[in-house]
Amino acid sequence: MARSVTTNRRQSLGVLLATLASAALTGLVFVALGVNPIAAFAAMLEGAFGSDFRLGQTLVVTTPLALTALAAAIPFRAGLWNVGGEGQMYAGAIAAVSVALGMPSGVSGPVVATSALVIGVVAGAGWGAIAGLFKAGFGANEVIVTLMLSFVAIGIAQLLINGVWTGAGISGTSPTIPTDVGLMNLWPGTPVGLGEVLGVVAITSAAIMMARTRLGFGLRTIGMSPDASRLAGFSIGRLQVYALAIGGGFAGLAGAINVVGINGLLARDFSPGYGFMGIAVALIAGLRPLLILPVAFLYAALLVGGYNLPVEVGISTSASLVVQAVLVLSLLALGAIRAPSLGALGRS
Amino acid sequence: MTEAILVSGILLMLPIVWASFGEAICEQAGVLNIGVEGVMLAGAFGSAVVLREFGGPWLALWASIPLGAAVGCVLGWFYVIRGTDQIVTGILFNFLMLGLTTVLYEKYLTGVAQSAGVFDPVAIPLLSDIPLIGPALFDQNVIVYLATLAAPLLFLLMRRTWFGLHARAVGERPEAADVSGVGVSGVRFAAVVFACVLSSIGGATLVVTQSGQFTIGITSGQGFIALAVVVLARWNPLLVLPAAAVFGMTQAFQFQAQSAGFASSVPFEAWALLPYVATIAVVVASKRAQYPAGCGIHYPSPAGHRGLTQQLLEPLRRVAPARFS
Amino acid sequence: MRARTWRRIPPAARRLLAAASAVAAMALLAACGSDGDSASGGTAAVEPVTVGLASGGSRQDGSWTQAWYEGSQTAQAELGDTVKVTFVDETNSVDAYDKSAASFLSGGGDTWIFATAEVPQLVDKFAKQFPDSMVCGVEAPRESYAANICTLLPRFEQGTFLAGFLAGSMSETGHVGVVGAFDFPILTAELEGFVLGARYANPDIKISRTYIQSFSDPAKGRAAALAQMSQGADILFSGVDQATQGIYQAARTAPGTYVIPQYFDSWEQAPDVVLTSVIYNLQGVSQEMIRLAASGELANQHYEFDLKNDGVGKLAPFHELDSQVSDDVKSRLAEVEAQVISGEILVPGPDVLGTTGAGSKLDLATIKAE
Repeated sequence: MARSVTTNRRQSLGVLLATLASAALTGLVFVALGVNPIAAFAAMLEGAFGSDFRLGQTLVVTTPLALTALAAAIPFRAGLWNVGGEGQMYAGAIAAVSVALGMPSGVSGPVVATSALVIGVVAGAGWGAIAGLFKAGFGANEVIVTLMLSFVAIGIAQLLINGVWTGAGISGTSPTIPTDVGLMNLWPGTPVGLGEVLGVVAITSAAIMMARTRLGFGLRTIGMSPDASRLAGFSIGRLQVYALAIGGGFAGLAGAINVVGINGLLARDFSPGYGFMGIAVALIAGLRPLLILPVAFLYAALLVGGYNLPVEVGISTSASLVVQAVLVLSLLALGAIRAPSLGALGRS
Repeated sequence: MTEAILVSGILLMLPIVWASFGEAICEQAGVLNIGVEGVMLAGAFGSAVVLREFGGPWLALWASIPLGAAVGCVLGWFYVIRGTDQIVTGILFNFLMLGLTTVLYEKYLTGVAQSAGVFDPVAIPLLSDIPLIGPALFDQNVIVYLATLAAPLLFLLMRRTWFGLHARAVGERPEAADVSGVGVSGVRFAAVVFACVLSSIGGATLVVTQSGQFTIGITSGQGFIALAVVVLARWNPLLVLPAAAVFGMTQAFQFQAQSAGFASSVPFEAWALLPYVATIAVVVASKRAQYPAGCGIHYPSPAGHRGLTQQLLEPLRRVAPARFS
Repeated sequence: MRARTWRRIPPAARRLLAAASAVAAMALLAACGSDGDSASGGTAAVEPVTVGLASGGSRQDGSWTQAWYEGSQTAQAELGDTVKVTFVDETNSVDAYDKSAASFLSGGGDTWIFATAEVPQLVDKFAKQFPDSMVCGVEAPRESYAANICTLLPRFEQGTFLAGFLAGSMSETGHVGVVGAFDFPILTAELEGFVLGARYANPDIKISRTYIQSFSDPAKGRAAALAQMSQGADILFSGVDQATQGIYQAARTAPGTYVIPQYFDSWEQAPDVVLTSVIYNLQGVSQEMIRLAASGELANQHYEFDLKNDGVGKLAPFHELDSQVSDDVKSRLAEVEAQVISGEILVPGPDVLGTTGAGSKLDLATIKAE
């Protein structure tokens, strides 16, 4: 017992050292960019946590990261590679804005907002389910189908903005949804609102579903051993469709929250690649729903802090991308964070 | 018009072909390199620098080879030796290369450059006179011919040589290969390096067959298309050519359709979806394509430095026994 | 006891906690560092006015963003210590615009300009959130203005109208083409302005339009140009950035095919095919907006920049291809330019020309002032 405690302590010390080493390495990148590393780290921390407003921004970014991470994690647990969280998020956003713009004007704001969110989830789930159906019905590889469907969803958003929702001035976005449709702000002075609560609720329910329900058990089983799950009476094809649909639903919620709670319209490039970052978050969190939340928060801090670099120390947004990548890659390589290896790619 | 589609289609698919060659080999050896987009960016950037500083498309093309190998060593260290998760590493590597090439581009490569020094089409006598396919296939730049030659050679490499057989063994059943004495880490590392060389050539192609210049994010997602093409081609270098053609030709067709009057009733955004929808349709229609069983899973390197070094040197020893034994 | 609690936490969470504590340690370190910084920097006599701009491209893209950047640097040099300009480039998602603006404004910035038409919602959001700062965006005129909102609009389509008129007058095949990146009203208006100008020169002219979904991919530019040329187009307008390189390449394969790029005089990049360039003088726009902000004159209103007041949309010299343009065409072009400036010809704005096909549908009679 005593010995294992020492091992744990030693392990944690290793992680601590690895983290500091990664920070040092990232500091070297700053030096190479001609920037004082201490000032740069200060700018990042300041940008992510420096005031209530900034902390709020970080929390707001945590939500889509956590939700797209769930979109990746749940199918991953079922042995399916959903790399299309980005597209499922767009599907959710498209559906949400359609509902919000299409509702008759008499309907009250909260009703519209709720239905927009629900339909957004359904659309994201549907977009994911397409890949699931192709997988279950035709054996079509879900890596390709989810990735290509992302390009398609982004293209459809563009098509609708230009072809259907014209009349938004010269902005190249959809028109703005009615002002009374929104998510309640919960922390005045910051953008934090009901969307963040929805994110936490989603994470919690995903955790409960995976750990405590028959569906969650089924999903985990097909991920670990398709044969065993067949013996246990699960229909593999159906579970595959469910897995991608559930994952897509979470991504769709992220898109709907963006439309209803943040932008109030559908913009062409509303996402900086949340769907892809979500995959990284999911794997770093070891695919555990409850760990996704803190990991997403730290990743969001990195992202939001990174956006402060161009403003504070004058490097380009691309340079802050380098900083983020070096930091996370060195944390990975030095073992400070670990992403578990998954099962084989789509062998089921 | 059909001729323009064929000519453009082949030019559009060319970088994807090289990237897919690399990815096919890498994945057959059990490493999923999502970072192929980043490798292409590196190759494109490097060849643009060489083209600008020293001139000459051949030199620029050759330069992408050692550069690809160097990038391959970095990625191989992550994927094979450190065993970091391949998907996370790949995604972040793409972010890294996008940021890095942009920063370096802004520092060193901007300003007016003459768009000179690219590969011009070389017509093959007689064959290039064939109507339609002549100009498309036999009046192209030299990299098109190189790709056509490379496909059967890579096919033979994977099917007939020790490297290909070992690579496929460590990609399908790494434990079994290990037990029978194959150094899994060594073969995988070599495969990653070789794959990155090919993908880097794909990136260089974007520069030396197009404008002779680098632009920010020049790969524009073609590495991801390569990931799809590889599955479509079932990891077979010979099938990479028709699989990439599905994408290149639909892309060229949609440009033609947009420009032509007959399609003006269909919005261009709908045409722009065509390549992606076509790829999905082909994947659904072609029966189950299965990744190599070990693909994406790290297989631990042997304990201790000596074992690992021995394994990493093994492929070199095979190539030049006198030097490395 | 503590050790046992620590052990109960699952291993992955333990790693996370350890990492978080390391981050906290760094935070402390950095906080010390930044204290020192602010102490040394706090001695400045007069606080300069801070102006921030964000634009989606690279500051060296040879296009929109570079022009904004160059203007901002000129303004900074000219205005010296009275202003501090922050330029954020490569903000290529709504999120990036949002967080950059938030960083700047929550740090106490005075004026923020979204050098993009893409995010009108953010103009409103930040104006409301930071009532003491001025927030501006590229937009068509609004009906009403909150106290700290301004809008601005460069009228690109006037310049492309002239380019279109030139192309329409010179095309041997009676067929011209436009290549764009995305169908985005302010950019589409550039292309449709060109189409309208070509029709003004030759009402029967044939038009090819291609969007290549990228500003920077030369392969796509080339494919689009080849497609248009195979259908007969001999003068191509490029509404894309670096992808124009591919259009030059395609044009070289058929002598007598010319390209008209935009933003800067790009003649040097391809002297043999660049007929002229449409110069938008966005540098002047950027410089003027910063000057207004620095002097405190920036008001809650709309600012319009066009051929008449700011030289937005002049055509570059013909350079080496000068002999290809007949004197007759040159004099007619000068006449049309004078008419656009005087208002005799009214080129509609992006609110009308911002839709694909608008340039073909518009009745030519409507653009002549009475």
